[in-house]
Amino acid sequence: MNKSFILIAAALLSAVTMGAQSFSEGFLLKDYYRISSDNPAITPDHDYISIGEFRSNVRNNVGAAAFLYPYEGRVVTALHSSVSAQKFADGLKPVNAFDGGIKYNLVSYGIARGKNFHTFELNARAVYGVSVPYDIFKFAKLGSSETPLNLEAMGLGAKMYAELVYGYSRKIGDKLSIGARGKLLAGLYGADYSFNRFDIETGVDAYTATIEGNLNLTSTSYKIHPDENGILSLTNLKSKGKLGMPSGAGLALDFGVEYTPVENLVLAASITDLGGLLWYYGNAGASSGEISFAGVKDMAITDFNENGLKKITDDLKNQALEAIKLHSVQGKTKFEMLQYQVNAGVKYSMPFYKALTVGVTGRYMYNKYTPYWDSRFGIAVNPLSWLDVTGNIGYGAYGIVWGAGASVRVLRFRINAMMQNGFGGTLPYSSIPLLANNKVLTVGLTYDL
Amino acid sequence: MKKYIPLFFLAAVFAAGCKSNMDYDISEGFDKEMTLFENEISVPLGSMQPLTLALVLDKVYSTSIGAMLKDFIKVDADGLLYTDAADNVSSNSVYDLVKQIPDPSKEYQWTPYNMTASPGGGTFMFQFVGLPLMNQELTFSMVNPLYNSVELNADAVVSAGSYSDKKELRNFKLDSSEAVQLAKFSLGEVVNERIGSFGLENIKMNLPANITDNLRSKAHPMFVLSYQYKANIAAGKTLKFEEMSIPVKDLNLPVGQFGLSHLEVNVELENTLPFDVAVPFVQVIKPSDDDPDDFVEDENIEVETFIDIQGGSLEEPSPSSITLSINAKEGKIPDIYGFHLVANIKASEAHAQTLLSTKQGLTVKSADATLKGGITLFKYNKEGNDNE
Repeated sequence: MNKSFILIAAALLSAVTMGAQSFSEGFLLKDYYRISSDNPAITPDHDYISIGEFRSNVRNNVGAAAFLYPYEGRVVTALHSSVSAQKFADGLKPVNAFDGGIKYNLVSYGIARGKNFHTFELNARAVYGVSVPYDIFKFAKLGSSETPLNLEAMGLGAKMYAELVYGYSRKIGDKLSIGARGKLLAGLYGADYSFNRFDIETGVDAYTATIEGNLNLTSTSYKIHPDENGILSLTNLKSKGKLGMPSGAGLALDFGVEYTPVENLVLAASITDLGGLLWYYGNAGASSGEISFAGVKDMAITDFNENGLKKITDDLKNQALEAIKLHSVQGKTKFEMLQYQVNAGVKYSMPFYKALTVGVTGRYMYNKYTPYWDSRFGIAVNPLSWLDVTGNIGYGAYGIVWGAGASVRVLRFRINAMMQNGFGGTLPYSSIPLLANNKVLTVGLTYDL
Repeated sequence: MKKYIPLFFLAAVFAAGCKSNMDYDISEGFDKEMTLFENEISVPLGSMQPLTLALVLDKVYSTSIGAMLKDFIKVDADGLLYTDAADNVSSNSVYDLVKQIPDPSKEYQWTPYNMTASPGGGTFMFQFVGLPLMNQELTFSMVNPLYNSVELNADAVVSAGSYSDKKELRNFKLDSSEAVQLAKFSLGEVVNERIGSFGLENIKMNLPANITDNLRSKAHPMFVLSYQYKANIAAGKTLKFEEMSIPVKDLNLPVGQFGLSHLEVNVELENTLPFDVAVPFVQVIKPSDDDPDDFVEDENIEVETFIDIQGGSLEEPSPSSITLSINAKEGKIPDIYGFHLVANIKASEAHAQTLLSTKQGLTVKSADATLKGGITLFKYNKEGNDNE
């Protein structure tokens, strides 16, 4: 392990993102029109067009401080003898995951017609993640005393899909507004490598690894051809000349409600991304096998030299490669749920100074390994007609969190920027979080019609 | 001004949230020292083909001194070790014989003295070191230098300790040949004593008239009695090598860099050699400061052993377990220069008299090693502020 390795891993950590949310900030900002993507019931009272809003969400359920420790004026790794096994274990999770997503809103067009509001949207979204089970680190730190190792949770994957959205909201009376959005989803690219089974038993008699792995890779653009033994060769890619053609299709729904029981008090709740995609993986592969290492087998005394030992390691390596080789299997379809999110909030604009709003928000984001929740208290103020600013502080799955956002109007243009982060700090000269963290960045531009 | 207070609050939160922790500054690198497997790591080492007598002999024969043994210790088609010897017992020139014949123109009955001898070569050495000779075979042959057949009467005798045997040769037709087999003795496994003496007694040979006219060759015509001796080598009850000091120097195992504190090796053996081997004492050694060719115990390392291997045979392999435990007395195990073993080897009482075979040997059926205290890599070097 060296510095570049850590930095690459950390860069990956900071790059992976997932379904983004800025509800806590957007809900309190008066002029953030794209809040409808977080709660379809909340819409402005006039038309708008938004172009190019970018949201990125980075989530890591362990931070760099789980792997790096200050020690006598220098920084050591978790495998340094000064770091106890207990301390190392306390900093890790059963599955250590780095997940993320990017949501890029190419265009959003909102039309206000009396009590009705219509939204049309086109988004490009990506989700991806890496997961590493605790048992790998446990083995490196403690050794073979604790067996078996369960590495089934190891995996990585990435998906990219397009979203065509129609949203409708309607005011019911003076106090209630409801909304829903239907999303047609078109899968563009998808790839993941995961394990149904990955166990390693360690013992003085043998080390045995049982592997059942699956590769799912969409094939619209490229086809991986198997060799004569039916093994997928990642170097044997052939373009099909259909770049960007769908590899999957799906549907998702958002629901939201906004209620104003009394003047200045707003309650809101929503659930988004209920649905999923049916992917077609034309480049499917499976690897399975059992690797067993019982030491040398009937090695001749005369082979007990450098060449002989090299042969043993080569044999073991070949055996391992054989077990993880991806055998081509028939293309398959697979339905995959989106990562749904639930938002709720209440806000109150001060009667004595209506430019000041306080509120409480809460949310839950589903993820297999990194489910996330937080609850925040926020304030927002628009001291000037062209400036709207908010900030919040709260507590969530990874400890104390904070958020900030601003909306600046220039003529009819509104520039929005929001950020959510934790307090754990970062590695110096980088944005790599030291602790488990959920970081969201949103930047967008809207135009009032 | 009051309206801006929330903005100041937000700015403070933002600054606190984005703060870097300089304690984690790795821009100038970090300490790469790692200790893996802190509790312990046990790994299977596997099995090995037998360390057979064949391999040992090959090794011995490859040395200048060992090469001389090749003439004494041989291997038959079945892999059994044997020794052999062949020589002349008696050579009698026809020309000398003619001088004894009163009337060469008439047939003559020759009654020479007894022709006896003992097995030559190095056969005596084996019993000397406790390796009895078994399945002894002795063959007598004679050269008849004449064209004519010669009638022979004699007693072929052999004795080995209290054992003796005799084959009577009566009217034996000694054909014209360079090697006519007269008799063969096979003593079998029941005779444990090495053949002490053998030969022909009470010899009577009827020689033809004008004997010199019937010579197949005029040059050195001789009646030659010779023997061929062969015997398998076995493990004897008296074989015993005690307190054998075996230094294994110049190993120079570079284990110090890994910072090990405890290493234990367990081996399951199968022994088909008819010898018991015990190693009651092993110590790690280092070169002596006074004499580089000498060695002294490395006091930083303590070795515990349990090596007691029982003898066996190809038919009844003997299983044994041996353990070798190496501990650092203080700190970590340094580089190992070599080992000093003291071994006791003696014949197995249960398998005494077992014939030695090149197929016999020690087989590692399984082995494993356990390291405790971790393996340290990239040791931190304080002086250079960098890792080695």
